[in-house]
This record gives sequence, C-alpha cells and structure tokens, in this order.
Amino acid sequence: MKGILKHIAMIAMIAVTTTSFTTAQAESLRYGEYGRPSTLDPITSNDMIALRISELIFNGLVGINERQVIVPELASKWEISKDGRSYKFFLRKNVMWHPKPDAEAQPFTADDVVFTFNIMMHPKTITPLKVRYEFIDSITKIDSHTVEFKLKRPVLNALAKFTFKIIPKHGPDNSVYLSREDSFVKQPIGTGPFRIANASSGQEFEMVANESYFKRPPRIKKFVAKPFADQNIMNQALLFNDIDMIVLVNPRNILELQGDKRFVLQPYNALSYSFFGYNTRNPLLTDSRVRQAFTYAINRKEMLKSFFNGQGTQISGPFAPGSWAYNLDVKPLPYSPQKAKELLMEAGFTMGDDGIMVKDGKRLSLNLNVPIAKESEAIKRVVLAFKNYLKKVGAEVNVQFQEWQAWKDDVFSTHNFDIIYASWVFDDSADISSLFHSAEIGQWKNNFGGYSNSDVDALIAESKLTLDHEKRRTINRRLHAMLADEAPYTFLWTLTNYSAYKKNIGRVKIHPYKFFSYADRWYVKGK
Amino acid sequence: MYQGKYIKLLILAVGTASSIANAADVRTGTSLFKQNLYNQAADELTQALPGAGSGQTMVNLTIGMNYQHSAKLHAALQHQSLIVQDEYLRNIVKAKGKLKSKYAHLYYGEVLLENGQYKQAKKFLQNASRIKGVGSSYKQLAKVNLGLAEYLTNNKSSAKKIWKSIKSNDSEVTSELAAAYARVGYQANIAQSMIEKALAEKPGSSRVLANAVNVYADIGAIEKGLKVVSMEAIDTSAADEAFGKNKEIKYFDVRLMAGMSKLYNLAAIKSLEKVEKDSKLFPVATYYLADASYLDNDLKTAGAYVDAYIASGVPSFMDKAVNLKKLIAYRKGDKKAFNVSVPGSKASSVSELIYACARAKADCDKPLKSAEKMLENLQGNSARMVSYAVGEYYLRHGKSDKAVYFLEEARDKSRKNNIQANDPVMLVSIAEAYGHNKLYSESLEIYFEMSKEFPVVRQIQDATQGIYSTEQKSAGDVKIF
Repeated sequence: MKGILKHIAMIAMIAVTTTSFTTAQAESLRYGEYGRPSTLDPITSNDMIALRISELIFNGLVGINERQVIVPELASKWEISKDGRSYKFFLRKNVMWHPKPDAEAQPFTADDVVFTFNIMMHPKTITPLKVRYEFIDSITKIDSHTVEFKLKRPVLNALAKFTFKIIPKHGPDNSVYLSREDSFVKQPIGTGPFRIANASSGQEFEMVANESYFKRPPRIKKFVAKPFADQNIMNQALLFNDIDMIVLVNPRNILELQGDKRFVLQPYNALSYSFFGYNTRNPLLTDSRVRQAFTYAINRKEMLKSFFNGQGTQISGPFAPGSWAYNLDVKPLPYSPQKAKELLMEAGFTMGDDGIMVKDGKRLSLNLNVPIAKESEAIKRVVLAFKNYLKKVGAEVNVQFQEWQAWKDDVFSTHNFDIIYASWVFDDSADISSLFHSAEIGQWKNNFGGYSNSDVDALIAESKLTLDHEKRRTINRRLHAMLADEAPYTFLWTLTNYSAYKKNIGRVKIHPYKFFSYADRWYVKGK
Repeated sequence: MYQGKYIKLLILAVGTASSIANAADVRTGTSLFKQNLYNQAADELTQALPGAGSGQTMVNLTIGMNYQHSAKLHAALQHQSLIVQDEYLRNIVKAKGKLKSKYAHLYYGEVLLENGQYKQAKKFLQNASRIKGVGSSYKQLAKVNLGLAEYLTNNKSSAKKIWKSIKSNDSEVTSELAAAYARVGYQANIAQSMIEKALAEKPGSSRVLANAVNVYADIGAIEKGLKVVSMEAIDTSAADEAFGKNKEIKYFDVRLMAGMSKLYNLAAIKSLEKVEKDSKLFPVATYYLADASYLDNDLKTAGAYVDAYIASGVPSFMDKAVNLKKLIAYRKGDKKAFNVSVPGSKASSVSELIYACARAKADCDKPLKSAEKMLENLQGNSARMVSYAVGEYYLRHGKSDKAVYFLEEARDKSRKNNIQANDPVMLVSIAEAYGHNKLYSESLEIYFEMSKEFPVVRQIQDATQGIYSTEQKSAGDVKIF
C-alpha cells in the first residue's frame, strides 16, 4: 500500500511539473539516468553515467563515426609512419575551451594534449585508462598545434585509441596528477558541444549548448540529466512528459512503450552482461570449484525468464553474445544443485549442523554487495533468488544494498566484499584485459576480485602484442573457455538494450557504447 | 509475410477435429509451427501423421506449410551466408607471408562460385588446386569445383576432363564429385551410390553431409536428405586451419543451406500435393504450391497454381496470390507488372504489394509512399505488417538505414530476437540490414538466439564475428554499470 501511495504521489508530482512546460524547455532534452556520477571527468570516472556525460562535454583527437570510420575531431589530420610507431596529429586552431566560471575562454593547444596524456599516465592518478595506453612510449609537442606520439610497438587499431578525451591544462587544481578530490572532476570544462551549467545544485544535472563549438553549435540548447533510483518511476516520468528520453529502458516496460505511438524505441547494442563477481582474496572463494559450484547452484534460465520476462540471453563467459569474441562452443553450465554440492565437497567442505557448509572450521557464509542504483524490483529478486539457491547447496549469503559511491569504494578501493552483483559494458573492442589480468589488481582497478592466473595473463599479453585480427579472435575464444572454467564470476546474462524517446526528437543516432556521440546533430522537431 | 490468422484457424480446426485420432500430437506440432520452430514441428507432425486417420490431409497441409516456411528461411539464410562469407574470406585470402592461409582459396572460390562470379571463382580454385603444403585431397576438392565452374560456364568438355582426372579414395572428394554430378545432371545415376559410400565412410564430416544434402535434394531423395539434415555434425566447420599455437580459422561449406532450402521445398511440395483430393483444403495448398514452385524457379508451374488459387475465390491468401502473380510475371520479363495503382487502404493489400516489389527488386515508388503515409495512422499488427514490407523494400533497394528503421518498427521489441515472437525471415532481414550498417553486434545477437533452433546458422555467426573483429574500431574501454 505504501508503495502504491508513493507511486501515486510521484505521478501527481510529474503531472504538476508537466503543466509548467515552457518554450525554453522546448529546446531542451531531459533524459532519465540511473543516478549521479561521483566524478565527471573522462579520466577518473569508470561508470556509464559519467561516460555519457563526458561524451557531451569533451572531444578526442579523433572520433569514430556511425560507419566505424575514424574521423577528425580535435585533430584535423594525422600522419602515421610506415613502421606504425609514430602518430603525428595536426590540431585544429579554432577550438576554445569552455570558459571557467568568471573567466575568459582559453584556446585549445598542443600543451593540452601533452598535459592530458601525462596526467593520465601519472602513477598517482587513479584511472582504469592506464592499461589501455601502456603501448605509448612518449608524446612530444612539435609546435603549438602539432603533437607526436611514439609507440613502443605497433598495435592493432592504434588510431582508434586516440579517441581518449582531452582535458585542459588550466583545468585541474593539481597539474601533476588527478585525484577524485580535485574540483575539476566535479565541474570539468571541455571543448565539446555542451558545457556544464549546473553540476551541484539539486538532483538534476544541466548542460547548455556551447555556441562556439568548433563543428557547429548544437541544435538542442540544453541537456538535462535527471537521476531516478526507481526504474518504474523513470518510465512514468517519460509517459507523463517529465522527461524526453530514457537511456536504458527497463525490459519490463518495453511492451508498454512499444504500444505508445508518442515514443520511439531504439535498440543499441551495448556489449554488456551482468554477473556475480567473487573476491578471490577470501580463502573460502580461492578454489575455482567453489565458484563453479555457485554457478551450478543457480537456475539462470529461470531467473531470466521470471525476473526479466525472458528479455535477455544467458551467457557462458566473459563476453557478450553480440561480441566478435564470444566463444560459441562454450555452453552455459546447466542448473544442477547436486553437481554444486559435489564440487563443494570436492573442495573440502562438509555439511554443518545448521545446513551451511564448513571448511577448516569456517562456515561458508558470504556478503553480497549490491549498489542501490541497481535497486530495481528485478535486481532485488535476482539477488534474493541467488541467496535462496545458494542456501540450498549449503552456502549462506547476506545481501547488503549500498549507496552507489559507498559500493564503489568497497568494491574498487578497499575490496571489502565477498560477492558483488554488477554489470560491465564494453565498447566494440571487447577488451577484458583490465578485468582479469593480475597486473590490474589494486586500488580503483577493474580486477576488483584479485583474480590471478598466469595462463590467462599470458594469453592477454599475447593478444595485446599481435597485429593479426584472427589470432586475437582465437585468443579471446581461448580466454572465454578458460574463464568459464575458472569462474572468477558467475556469468549471468545480457539484457535487451533499448532507449526510448519522444517522436519529436529528430536525427537520433545512438552510439552503442558512448550513447551521446552524435547528439550535437539531434534536434527537437517543430521548434 | 504474416500468416498468423490462417495458422490460428488451422490450429483451431485441428484442435476441434474429432476425426483426428491423435489430435493432441497434431495440435502440438501445429503449435510449434505457429511458433516458427520448424524443425521441432516437422518432427512432431511427421510422427503424428500415420495415426491421424481421416485428418491426414489436414496434417499433410500443415507439414507442407511448415516445410515451405523452413525452405524460405533457409533460402534467406543462404543469401545472408553468401554475403558474410564473401566479405570475411575476401580479407583472409589477402593475407601474405606467415599469415597466408592454405585453405582460404578453396573456400573463397566456392563462395564466388555460388555467387555466380565464375571467372573469379576459377582463379581462386586454380590457386587452391596448386597450393603447396596441403594434402592431395584438398587439391582434388578444388579441382572438382574448378570442373563445376567450367561446366556452369558451358565448358562442359573441359569440366568432364577435369573430373575424369580426379583420383582419390577420400570420402570428402567422392562426395564433392557426387554433388557436382548431381547438380549439373552429369553421371546422375552414380551420384547417389557415390554419396552413400561417402556417408557410410565419413558420417562425421560436415562436407560429406552438406554434399549429401545437396545430392539428395538434386535427385529428389527427400526422406534420405531429411535424415542427413538431422545428423549431429551438420553445423560444424568443414575445415579448421591452425597457424601455430594460438590462431585457428574455421571454414564452412557455404552450399549447405542452399541444399537444405531445396530439400525442404521439395518436402513441402510433396506434402502439399497430397492435399489435392480435399476440395476444401486444396485451394490453400495451391497457394503454397505456387510459392514453393516460385522458390524452385519453376515459374510455369507457379503461375498455374497461383491462377488456380485465384480462381478458387478463397480469400485467405488472395492478397498474397495476386501479388505473387505479379512477381511471376515480372520474373518472366513483364517489367510493367508492378505498374499498378495503390490497392486501397487495406493494410494487407498494400503490404503484400510492397513485399512482392521487394522480392522482385522492382521500383514501386507510388505504393511505397502510400504505405509510409498509411503508417502514420496504423497501429498494432497492421502497422507491423506494413512496416515489415516497407523495411524489406528498402533493404532490397540498398537503403539499409531506412530498412533498419522500418524493420525495427515491425519487430516485437519485447522479445526482439525471439523467433517465436518474430518471423525468422524478418529477423534475418534485420540482421542483414544491421550488417550493412556495420552494427554487427545486432546481427550476432539475432543469430545467437536463432542458432538454438537452427544450429546451421553457425557459419553465419562465425563469419560475422570475423568481419566484426576486423571492422570494429574502438579504444578498448569498459565501464561498470
């Protein structure tokens, strides 16, 4: 009853907001998000909400268009040496940084590119990007608008890697390394089509058009990110005109939106999957048979069907099924509580008096951390089902819902968890190296579970070195098979990704990973 | 296109027909057909047929319809396989030095041969027949296909000379030769014994199986062909080429799905012809027979059946039949066959016309504009039906951006890759359109789901993954959500 009342109150609130719709709002686009990012800069952030905002605010040296062609962005042209080890970029001369509050806008130069690379690679800068750019040996400023990168070795798709976003030299307080305490990460400035208007007040997050944008001024004049903790309320907000777009529609709402002619439902295939990730530092979870047992213990097919209306695909390993790297020969493990128990016994556990397995005097009792941003009904059901399934095979799971930032601190900084529920989203490169390579164990690195396997490390290293697409593909197939067997995660499923937006928003092209890459060309029809 | 209404009636009829002894089994089979699970439906219905008593005619009609849908799907899959294998192998054959493939020339030559690019095919097959460092069987396979290319370009004596020179005890080579003979009708009398010998010796070879499917389809040995289709190794690669420890390329037989389509179409015709004596059901069968004959390129028979259907006056498939008649005329050379006025405001009439135009690749600008205008006010299934036709039209006219838009409108988004909720032929079109737009992951997701019912799509998945891995240009980013 309480829930229904809350729902009605929210709808009433939305209806009131709708009546105050003005002409100024007509040129704005309000989109529903799943929370507020803790940092907004492209270097320290590691979540999708921040990535989408970064796409509106910043530019890379190059971009990738809708046809997978590399196109000029901050660099107007480039030269690549014959040996593939030198990349010289000629920068645009007409680009200005967004102005800092109470200051004049400053021009973009080669110093900014050198600064970005150096601060990104500084040992004290905490960023998941370092591993991606270890192949760069040096950067040199040739003149005020030319830079040259020297590579340690030629790499596949090197040019695409220069899509990393450039930040201004005059941006961060600390010009040596970037920390999450720097004011820049909360209120950054960029060169992109939108600049931040209001990052701190209230719940909403506003960006306004950069009328000096070097390509052309964007047609939409204001972007507003509106966070929602509850997916159903976000959907109601769209239906009642409080927002114009939802970046990721809850699978349960697809049917309702599909039948409504006011909206367009557009798929975009972010390569993503959900998983339960294990902290292998915990002695109870060190043995891969225990982790495998957990995978056997849960009925993923039934969970997908019951909690997501079957709108997704069960997976067997560390890649999404839409990825080129997915190993089609590896099938998901079947649901088998019996096999799960056998594996736990093999791993040295015995059944305790209270129905919980014990090994060396320790009960198989584990904490499962779930971010509150994920607190949708479906996710609650998933984690509770996981708890129940595991109880049946003798494992106790204590579910803890946490606020998004607290969850990230526990998972990526202090590693204070046993199991997490989360999802990864990949770009087309399907690069899992930062997730499973042992060099990526550490504070704010992506191998949060401390997983280490020398064979996996060797394969990842080989995939980084090769210039042969087919070889890289084979290596990824092998990695898929190995990681499915080793089970650092219980790989769950890929869910259907749809964005929903009002029909009056025109020319909407969605980047499958970064989402807003082409938003400078979107417009609101009839305004 | 959409046939749901008739199939629903059929299920109802089967369900209430007290004359069918094993109505429950038949109902299950018919329901599987309605869910587009053609393989399962065929198994169920075929098993139920002998016990169906006086309902056998109805069951035969359903079996025929089921096979015909399956034939169309496999024709669409074959079309898609040729597109992606061509693009994928074209890159593989370019590799030089240590990366040079020994096998790719044969497989690329086979793709070119199926695409009708005979001159180019001969070049690659000749290379394959001379390549160093491979076993003699591989070279013999290339020679068989070189002979086929010669035969298909009217150099019959040259073809026969090449084929006569082939001396091999390898079952794969024997099967390849049998398939070539059966295809062109040369030495057809021994093709069957050759393929049966090969099958007995190497039942686990997907090349032998693919050749067997094609031989049986070509000689009309339907039951034997259907048995081969259900064999376990049918979806596996024909060859795996290893380059050192960590590189392997898989090659597939690109003719498999063409053979399957032909075989299913023959099976459809055989079942539908059994309905002839039932005056109530036969009109429906004649429509399907017309479509099956069209798929078999037998335009004369197709024309006769479609006329018979139109004359029957049975309304169920009238829009389809009228437009199939236009399609047949167009294929026979009447380029004005589609110069017609817009057929009113009935969604099914408009969509069937546009869909037929798409199949013919004919220009139908006026009806297309009407259809798009009509879509502004349509909802539900009618909107999906017209959107599908418009999307298909754009796809066949090379406008893949627009195709994606309209095909997406036709898709059941709540179960977007599910073949039970979406016509699998439409899903193949969506996958193709996304492929043209370089959004390969959308295509791969469709085939991932489809492979659960139709494992032979593996060859499309594998090649698409290969293209995607080369074409993608991303930095290597990953984020938590």
